Amino acid sequence: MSAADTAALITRLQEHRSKFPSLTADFTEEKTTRLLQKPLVTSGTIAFSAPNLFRREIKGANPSLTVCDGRQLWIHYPNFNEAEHYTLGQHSFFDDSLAALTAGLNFENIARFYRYDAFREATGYRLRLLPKTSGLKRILRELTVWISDDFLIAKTEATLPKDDHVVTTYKNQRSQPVPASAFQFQPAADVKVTTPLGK
Amino acid sequence: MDLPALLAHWIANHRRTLAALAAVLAVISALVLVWHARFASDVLDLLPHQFDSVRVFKQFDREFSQAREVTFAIVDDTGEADLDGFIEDFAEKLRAEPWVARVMEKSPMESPEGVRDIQRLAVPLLLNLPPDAFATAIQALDPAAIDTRLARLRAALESGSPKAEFDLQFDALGIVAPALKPLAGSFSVEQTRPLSSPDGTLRIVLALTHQDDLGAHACQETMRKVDDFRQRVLASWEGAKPRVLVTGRTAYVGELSTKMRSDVLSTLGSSVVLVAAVFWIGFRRVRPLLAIVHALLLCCVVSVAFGALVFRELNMITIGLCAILVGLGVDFGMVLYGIYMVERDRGHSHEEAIAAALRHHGSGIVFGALTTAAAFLCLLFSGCSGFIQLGVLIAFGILAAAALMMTVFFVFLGANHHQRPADTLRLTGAKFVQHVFDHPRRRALAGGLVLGILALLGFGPFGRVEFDADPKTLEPRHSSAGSALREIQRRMPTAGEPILAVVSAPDAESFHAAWEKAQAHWAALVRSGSLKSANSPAAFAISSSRVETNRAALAQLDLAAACTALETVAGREGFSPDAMQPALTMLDSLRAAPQLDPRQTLPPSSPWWFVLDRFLAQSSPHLGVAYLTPTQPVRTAGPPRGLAPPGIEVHFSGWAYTLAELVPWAKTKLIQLTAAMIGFNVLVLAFCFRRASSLAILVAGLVLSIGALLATLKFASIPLNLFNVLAFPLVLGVGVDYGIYLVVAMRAASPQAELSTIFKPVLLSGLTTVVGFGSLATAQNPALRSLGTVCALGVGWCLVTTFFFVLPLAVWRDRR
Repeated sequence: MSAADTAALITRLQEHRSKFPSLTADFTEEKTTRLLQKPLVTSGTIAFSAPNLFRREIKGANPSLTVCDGRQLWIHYPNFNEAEHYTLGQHSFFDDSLAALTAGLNFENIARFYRYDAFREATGYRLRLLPKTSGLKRILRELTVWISDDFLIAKTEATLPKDDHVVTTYKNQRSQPVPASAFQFQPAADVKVTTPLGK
Repeated sequence: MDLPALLAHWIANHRRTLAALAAVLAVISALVLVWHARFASDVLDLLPHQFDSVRVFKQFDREFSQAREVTFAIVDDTGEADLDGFIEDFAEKLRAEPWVARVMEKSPMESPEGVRDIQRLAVPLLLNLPPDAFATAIQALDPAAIDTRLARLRAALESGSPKAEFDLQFDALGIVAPALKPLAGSFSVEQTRPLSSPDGTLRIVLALTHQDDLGAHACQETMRKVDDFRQRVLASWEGAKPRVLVTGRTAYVGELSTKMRSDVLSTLGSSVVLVAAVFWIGFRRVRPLLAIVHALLLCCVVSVAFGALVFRELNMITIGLCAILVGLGVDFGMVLYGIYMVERDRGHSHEEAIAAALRHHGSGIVFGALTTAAAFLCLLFSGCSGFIQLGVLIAFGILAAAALMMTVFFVFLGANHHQRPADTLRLTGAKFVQHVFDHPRRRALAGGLVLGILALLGFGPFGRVEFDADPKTLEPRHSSAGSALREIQRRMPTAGEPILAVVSAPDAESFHAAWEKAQAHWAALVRSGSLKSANSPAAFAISSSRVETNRAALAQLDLAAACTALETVAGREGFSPDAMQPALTMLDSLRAAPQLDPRQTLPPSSPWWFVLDRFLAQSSPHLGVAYLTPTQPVRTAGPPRGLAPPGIEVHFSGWAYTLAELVPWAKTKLIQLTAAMIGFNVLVLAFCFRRASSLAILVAGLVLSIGALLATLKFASIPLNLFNVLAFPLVLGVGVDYGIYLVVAMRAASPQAELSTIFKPVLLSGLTTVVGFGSLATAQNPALRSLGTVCALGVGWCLVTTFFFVLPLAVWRDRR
């Protein structure tokens, strides 16, 4: 697509997100990592509310729940009765990474973090996002987002450093309000909480 | 034929021979300067070596690699530059420079090399754990424990845990983390080597250079390469360019030494120009002016060459020698020329006029030169090499100036003489003297009242003279290395000035024991809020007895079984062989006899060297330094209460600490040297006059001058520092001369006529001395600049006191 068409597409995507700031979906993720001989496949649900609230729940034998309320991020592992706690706004590297990954999904500030190209496909669009800053390049080499004609995210593929790949496919997307409580997390008293980044 | 006549005959009749001798002397001196002159631009060379903090600081400079490090501060105020990208490009290109040994642009734990090398560091650190902690740690090597851990990591990975991913890459066995635990208790990389400002606008890149020589020339050479690199890398960077600032010892020494050379020329040049201007105003003659300037320049060259031969390295205070010499040496020339001119005006020949000048004032000049030289030699008792060097060289220079003015000056002067019309300055002087003789009581009381008020303000409890112990007072004007350092400190509060705590031990075991105890002591102070942070090499101090005990425990383990379990479980859980490689390497290292010195385990390019070299000395394996950040800036001498761990010999230093320790010393030296100079003056004056009232008048004049000087310093907010306290004895040594001239004149048959005659030479002598010292104010060097400013003010007040207090009081006394 031409630069003008690409800019117009981004504008329409942003307008769509403004009109439907919240969504829920089911996902399936296939992660190919150098640590494992075979790809790791997980599935679950995701809920998102602009600008930066999200909830991601992995189901199956080893479930986890990731919740971000814009100020802090929790990852809870019920099987281990453990949770990781990350406070946002204290580590610019972590914050920028999170903001950049969110920008790839809600298209706000997309130009701040990425150089991008858009391609017309049979059933929608494909956006190829290349990180601008070296900090972001250290965690993400390339992000490709497939979007349907009605501006729903169908699939993403993240190419990570050292050739790790994460392909996520979304289905059952619903642009409906998500209650604020979905983005809150309070660990139970017996949950062991760690803070990997120190605070 | 008496000596002056003999000398005058030689000067008048062997002019070419003497000129040739002067030329030979100049050439020899110049050659000595070219071959021998070295400038010691390290500020530490100026400080008194009897202080432990100074000795320790020099040892720190020599033994720890920071002396060879260049610190780059990359600043982006606009937020437009891609700092990450620029730093990456900058560091990559810096690594390729042949003068760079290694580079650190991010925390070792953020770089792949750093994470890789931590596995190597972990082996000696693991064996250095307390035996009970070691026993707990190696339980992770039990095959069942390996099975449990890997199964759990696999499950956590499926749960999407970023921590599990990190653990698998970094510490699959679970023994690296416990091995590194003492590191966290010993230091923080962020505090020890902060590389990024909290607001993200400033980033640090450290480069260790191949510079073996810490001298000024080597530093200048390194800085030329640094500047060239900086320009190249900025030119090649596309996009918004950040600012690249440079600091560190190399930058400071390179800058200081370059500015020292320019200071020699600028202070000498301005001194010669100003003195020549005063001479021109006084005499309005070109030939004698050129003669006196030539003699002064010869005197300077000879004196500096003498200094280069005697001291090998001239320090940054001594480079003010030339300007001071010009100011002081010109006095002899003016006095001699004054008599010579009068004699020629009376119709005497060149030779007769020289003989008369030498006869009337030759002995006075020799005596004056000897007393001034002796005054400057008082600095031998300062205990500070910088002051000692200056004192010896000025003493030599003054004697050389006296000798050259009594000989070479007349050779340069030539035999021609033209009479000039009436001398306005001399007439003005005569009128002033007449006025004083008409109203001696009124003049003495008025002068005494004004100067007394000033002295009261100076000595009394009205305001205070600031004593500046800020390290900035040691920096040259517009220092780019200093600006860079302050920019870093402003944006990165954790990069503040620490107290250095150096511990040395005879062997590894006692080194370990000392650091363990010291670190525990300081950690308690951090917890109680007495210290902001304490970073020490405690974790790197390996205990041979612990290692022996832990090795014995390790020998009970079946490490081969651990390897087998690791490979088997990894295969079962689906981990790739590559993911397990670091863990297998770790097990192999434990099975072999591991290298116990952390420095022997790292490759030369490892970023961990920047941490190790900061704590452990290069040449001595059992010498280490800790960095203690106090909660309040160090302002008083000695370690803050409770800082020294009991039972351990710790030597403290650091810039702020050393300066705080030197302030009482400088104040004591100020009092001691001033008292010594007053005592010396009293002895000389008592010997000269043998009259209590003359002595009292002159001493009173000196007291008023010092009082007025103190008042000026207070109300003009001119601070004292470690170097300009020297000004007080110098002012007393130099300033007393003017009063002596006047009091001596009062003993003449016709005091008023004699005073009218010497008014002009005394005034001009004082003014040339003031401008000689004042020309030091043009220096880049702060020590020199502040010394010159205070000396010029002090001598100026001595001159004022002489004419408005000493003279009328002496006249009034004689009237009574």
